[in-house]
Amino acid sequence: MSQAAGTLKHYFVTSEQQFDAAKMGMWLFLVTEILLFSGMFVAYAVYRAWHPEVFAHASELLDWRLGGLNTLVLLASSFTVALSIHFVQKGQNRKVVVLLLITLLCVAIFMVIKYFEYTGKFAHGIFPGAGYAPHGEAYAEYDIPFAPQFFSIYFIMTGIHGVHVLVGMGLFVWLVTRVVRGHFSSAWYTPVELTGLYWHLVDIIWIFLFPLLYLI
Amino acid sequence: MAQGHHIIPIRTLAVVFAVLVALTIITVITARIELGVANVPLALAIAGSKALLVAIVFMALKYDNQVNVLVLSLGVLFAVVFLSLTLADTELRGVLGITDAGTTVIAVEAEEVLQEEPVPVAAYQAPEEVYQRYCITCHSLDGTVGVGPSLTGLTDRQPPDSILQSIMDPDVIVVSGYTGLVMQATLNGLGFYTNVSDASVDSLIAWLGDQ
Repeated sequence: MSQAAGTLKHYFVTSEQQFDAAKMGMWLFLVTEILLFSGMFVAYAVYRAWHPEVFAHASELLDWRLGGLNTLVLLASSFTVALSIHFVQKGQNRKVVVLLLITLLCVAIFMVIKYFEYTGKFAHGIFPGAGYAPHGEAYAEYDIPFAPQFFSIYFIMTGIHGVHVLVGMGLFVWLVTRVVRGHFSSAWYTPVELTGLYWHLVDIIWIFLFPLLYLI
Repeated sequence: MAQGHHIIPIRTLAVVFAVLVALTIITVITARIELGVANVPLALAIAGSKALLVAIVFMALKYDNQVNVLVLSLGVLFAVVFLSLTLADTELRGVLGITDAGTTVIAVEAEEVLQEEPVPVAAYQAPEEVYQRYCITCHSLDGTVGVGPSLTGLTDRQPPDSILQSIMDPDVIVVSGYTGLVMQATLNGLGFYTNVSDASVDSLIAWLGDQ
């Protein structure tokens, strides 16, 4: 009797059906995530269409080197997550643990860089909403109409994305403990696969945030 | 069971990762080159390609049950509807002058109505008539001072060009002792500027010279 049989709920006919249902459920959840972020992307698009020169100017204040580094870090974490699914499918759980730990390292690097970016902005009075009061060299010139809207959108979008990154961090820690306890096998590894899907979506959101906020 | 699941080769994953890194470098470089209006669409196209790569290979949609492709596509479709309808509103709100076909039927019709309306051509009016209707209330011809100065001997004081200006744009020069802004407002109210033709004004000036 395979391990998968132990995880099969009575209302599914086969493990395969159970796996497909779980995965489709995850995709439906990801669609709600896309729609959550689309509201913020639409806000960005409307304000950018109204004030393109302000948005182009304000984006220069964000450091593309830090944003670019974070993009590479997230891409690397997506790669290690995809690899971890490859190895869990082959039942090589030791490699899965190593890859998930590397993923966690990437997540930590991302959040540390984000921390320095946020505090660097706060130090010069760049806050979301009514607290916006830029001061200091190279910052004072951003005390212009509609620059606060850009930075509010920046903080809200990267902030909610950051919350997703932290949730992902928790999920990876949880996965590591479960792999170590031998919960997964080549026959049943649904949580690894679904967490991977979630993580790739978090990556995709950042793939759009990076050029929109840092580059153009 | 596991046998039914496609295991994506490490090589495929590595190639996709390398392409994603390369596209990131490309988008940083192209964004730093001034391409005018092309910068934004190019950055979005590169981001879209990266997202597709992640979805197709890392998220395994290529090997997956295709119903998940449908689920994702519907989600993206709704996001696109959300974005395009909102922008259609915010970008075109209150704009009547846009000339794209379809969205501008009302503007075009309004334009046509304006074209069709005949431009009124004021008939010639004799100078006495014009004087009686528009001028006499304020300007006498016998030296009596009214709201405005008497017009007796006007042509001795002012050349015809200056008189014309004093009629058409009366508040530029106001004779001292009289109130400005009154004459233009009065003439506007009486419809002088729309109802009296240029020829009638010319003959009025000539006629005033004889008074």
